[in-house]
Amino acid sequence: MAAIEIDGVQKVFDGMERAAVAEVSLTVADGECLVLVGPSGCGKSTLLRMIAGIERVSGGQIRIDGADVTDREARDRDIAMVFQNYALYPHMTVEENLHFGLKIRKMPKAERNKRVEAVAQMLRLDELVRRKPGQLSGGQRQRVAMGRAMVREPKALLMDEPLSNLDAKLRVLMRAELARLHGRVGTTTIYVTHDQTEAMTLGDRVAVISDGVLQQVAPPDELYSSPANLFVASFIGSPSINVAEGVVRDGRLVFAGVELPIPPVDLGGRTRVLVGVRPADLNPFDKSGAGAVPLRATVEVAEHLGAEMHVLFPVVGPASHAGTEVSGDQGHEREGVLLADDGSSLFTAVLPAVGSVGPGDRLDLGIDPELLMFFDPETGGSLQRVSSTAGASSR
Amino acid sequence: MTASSGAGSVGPRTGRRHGARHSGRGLTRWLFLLPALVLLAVLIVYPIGDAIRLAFTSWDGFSAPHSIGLSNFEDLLKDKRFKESLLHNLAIVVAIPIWIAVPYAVACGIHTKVAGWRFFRLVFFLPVVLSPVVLGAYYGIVLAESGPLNGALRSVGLGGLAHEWLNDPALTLPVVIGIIIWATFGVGVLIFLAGLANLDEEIVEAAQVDGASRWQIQRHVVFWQLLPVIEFWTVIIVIASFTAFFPLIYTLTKGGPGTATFTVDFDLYSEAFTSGRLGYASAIGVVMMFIILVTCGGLVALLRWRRS
Amino acid sequence: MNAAADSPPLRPRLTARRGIGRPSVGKLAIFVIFAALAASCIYPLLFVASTALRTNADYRASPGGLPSSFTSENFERAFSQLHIGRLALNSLMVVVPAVILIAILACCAAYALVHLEIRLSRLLLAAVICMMALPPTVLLIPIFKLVLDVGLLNNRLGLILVYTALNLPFSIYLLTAFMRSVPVELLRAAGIDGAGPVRTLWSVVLPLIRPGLMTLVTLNFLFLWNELIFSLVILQQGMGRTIMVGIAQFQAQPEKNYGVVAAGLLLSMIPPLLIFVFFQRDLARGLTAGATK
Repeated sequence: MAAIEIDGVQKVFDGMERAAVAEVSLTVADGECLVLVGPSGCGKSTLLRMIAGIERVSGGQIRIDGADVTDREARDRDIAMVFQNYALYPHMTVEENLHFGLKIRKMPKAERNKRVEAVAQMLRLDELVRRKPGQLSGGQRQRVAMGRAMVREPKALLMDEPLSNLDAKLRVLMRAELARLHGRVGTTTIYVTHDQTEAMTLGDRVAVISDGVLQQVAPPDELYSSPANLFVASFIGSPSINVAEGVVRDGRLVFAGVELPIPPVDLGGRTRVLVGVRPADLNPFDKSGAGAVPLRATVEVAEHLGAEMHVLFPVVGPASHAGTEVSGDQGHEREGVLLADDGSSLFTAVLPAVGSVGPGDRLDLGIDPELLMFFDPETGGSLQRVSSTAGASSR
Repeated sequence: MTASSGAGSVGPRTGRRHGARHSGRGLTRWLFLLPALVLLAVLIVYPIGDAIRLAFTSWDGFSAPHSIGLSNFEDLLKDKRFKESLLHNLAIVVAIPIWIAVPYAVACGIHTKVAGWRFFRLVFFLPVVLSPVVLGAYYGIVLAESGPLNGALRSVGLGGLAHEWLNDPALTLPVVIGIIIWATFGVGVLIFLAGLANLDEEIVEAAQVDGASRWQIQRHVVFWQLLPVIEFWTVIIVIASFTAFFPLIYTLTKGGPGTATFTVDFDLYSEAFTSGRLGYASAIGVVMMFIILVTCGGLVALLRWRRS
Repeated sequence: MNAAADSPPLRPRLTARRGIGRPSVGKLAIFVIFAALAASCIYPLLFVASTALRTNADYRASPGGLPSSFTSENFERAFSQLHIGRLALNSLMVVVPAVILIAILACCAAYALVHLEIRLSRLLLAAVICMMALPPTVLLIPIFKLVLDVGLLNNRLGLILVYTALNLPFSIYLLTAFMRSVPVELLRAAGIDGAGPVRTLWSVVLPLIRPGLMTLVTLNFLFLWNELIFSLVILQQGMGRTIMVGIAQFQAQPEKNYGVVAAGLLLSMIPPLLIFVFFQRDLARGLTAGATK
């Protein structure tokens, strides 16, 4: 186990002008689980592969346990990796797969057996040790891949979208399993995923990457409550944050068709800002806090999910595409901003499932000015609250 | 947790200059390639150059070759046997359509799952594994004047069809070409069968639904889809037409009767190792290399052009 | 013919539309032609075997017919006069080392070209393919000169090296196709597990391309066992000759004994026939590689 320091690491692929990974600096503490998250093609996997030593860096330095490993081969870095499609050796049994890395490192047989046995037991692979990967189910293969990585007791464990090949149910199960294993073994872990839920549930800290640029590194709750910029705000959280343009007029903020008092935010003299509100922060008006301002919503779509429901409704004011502008990434898989028929933006509210709500129904929601987030319309950067400086993180 | 051995022992390297990194690994990589590359360089690339150099020399195989300029090539222009050999190779080239059509037709036949197709597929491959020397010796016996073939023809009252197969200047070259086609068609069948297996069956079925006849399907659907495979096979047999004949001719006819079955490769061998004119033979080799280069290049270009 | 009549029509729908009769007549014609072709492919074996097993007098009585009595005399003379045992051993002593050497060199080279990220790999592969298209006859004289100059003429090592070089381009090409089917991630995983390039090749890549290696070995054995011209030129001396040279020269004698020639042919066919029987699938895979892509 060891800390990993990434110092200005950069990757420019041959023939490409833009860097796939642009001078990323990060430190993963000993025993920590850091999740790299971002839309596909954002460079998170490239960064992981550079840490693993299977991709060369174009610049910068990588240190594991204090030692500069930038020029070292993967095999000399003492890290283990779990691949997206597991990369188990198809001609070896599960047992042989687990033994392989230890055998290469010339570990005595007795100790090897002990370790393999322990790992097989921990991952409930005991029954499967004589099988070959071709005879295993997806979840079992995933566990073998985990086992192969863990049995080496490496300084760090790198995982590249390890759950993405599993079906939805199994993925949730394995997610919990991974959290449990990390809790027990406590190996320094870097975990790559495009799924923000996975990131939020597994990471001690989460690093959001877009277009090869590190956007923010913070614990999950902080990422959610104080995103550094619009990209992070809209990438983290499901359903995605509602964003619309707000106009400052006569000391009041006009936003989504309602007038609000301006919260203590350093607007820096701007009269137009982007304002975001989390769907979960839009509550029925009667249940909102004291300072809440009423917002009348005409339901366009209501999605009933059992315990809760998602209500989509149009709001007055121009739609904001700032979220996608900041990311600048056309290939990214999140839908853009929802638009109503007349081109105004659609907001989502997550409400407790009460009664049947359908299109055309009117709802009275409350907007709490204290829960609003403000972003610079040009740069997408978060505008800091004046009073509470604690939660804000710097870029 | 303990760090495994090995990794820890390597001290941190300083002075990262990105251009020079992984240089140790680069060397290992080239070590994998080196033995093969050296062998190819010494025994293939260098000889190609040497073949051209020797073509401008006179060399008997004992003394040192000495340069004589273009006179080998001048002699070639006047060499009756060489021109005749070229002509025979031209005859072989003319036979190439048969060389393509036979395996193509046989593969289509097998593909329709005619009764016993597995057996046929196996048996048609049999001549391929046998050495041309064996086939030459075999046909030398079977086609002899008093051999089994003529014997069989006479015994069924077809004595009129009996010929001196290997001694009739007009007949021997076609016989030799026929044997080569027969000996290699098994490979062609396999290649075409592989192509047919990759055929888009849906298009064939669509054509059937459209009411196309078998012949129309064959002509308009199957043939066009198999064209790349046909091209592949054609390139192979064009190369083979210049090189596959030597062992058969060496064992079956020795170029005879007279010079009726001399081909360029056999001529090259004879000039070099029967007449001891290795420089002259090199010139033949260079001409041959040139012809193959032009033929194959032209062929590939033609097929590419026709397809686009 | 019975079989043709018995086989159910493949596409009943079409048969019905075209009227009965016609497709089965077509099939019958195909069957008859195929049967004749098949007979021409099998007959050499039968003829050589029967000629080898009968006396010369018996052969002359009816060359194409069946033997009336059997003898082992031809085989005995194949060993004593043709020295077929010696010739076969000579061939094996050249072919086996060459096949092994080709397999090793081609494996290493294909592995490096496909998986070790060599800068010029595409160019090198293109060069290898060009060499495949080069007819070996063109190289006969310069190779002869080279072997002569380094003093390896009439030396098995000379022929082994020549055979290896001549078959390397095809072998490398064939193996790269198999190498590509090994997922890159497996190699990365091996690297992370601590395996160097040699270990990765040995423990991960080779087990996965074993079928390809099998194909390569059988195909090369067949090619080299049957090869004539380079063997003729490089191993000229009587006692070192390979089997095909020995047979070719023996059968060229004017007063040859058909029975002895046939016995020699039959014995020389044993390795190819064994390969044909046991490795037919490997051969087919090797010969059609590259045909459909």
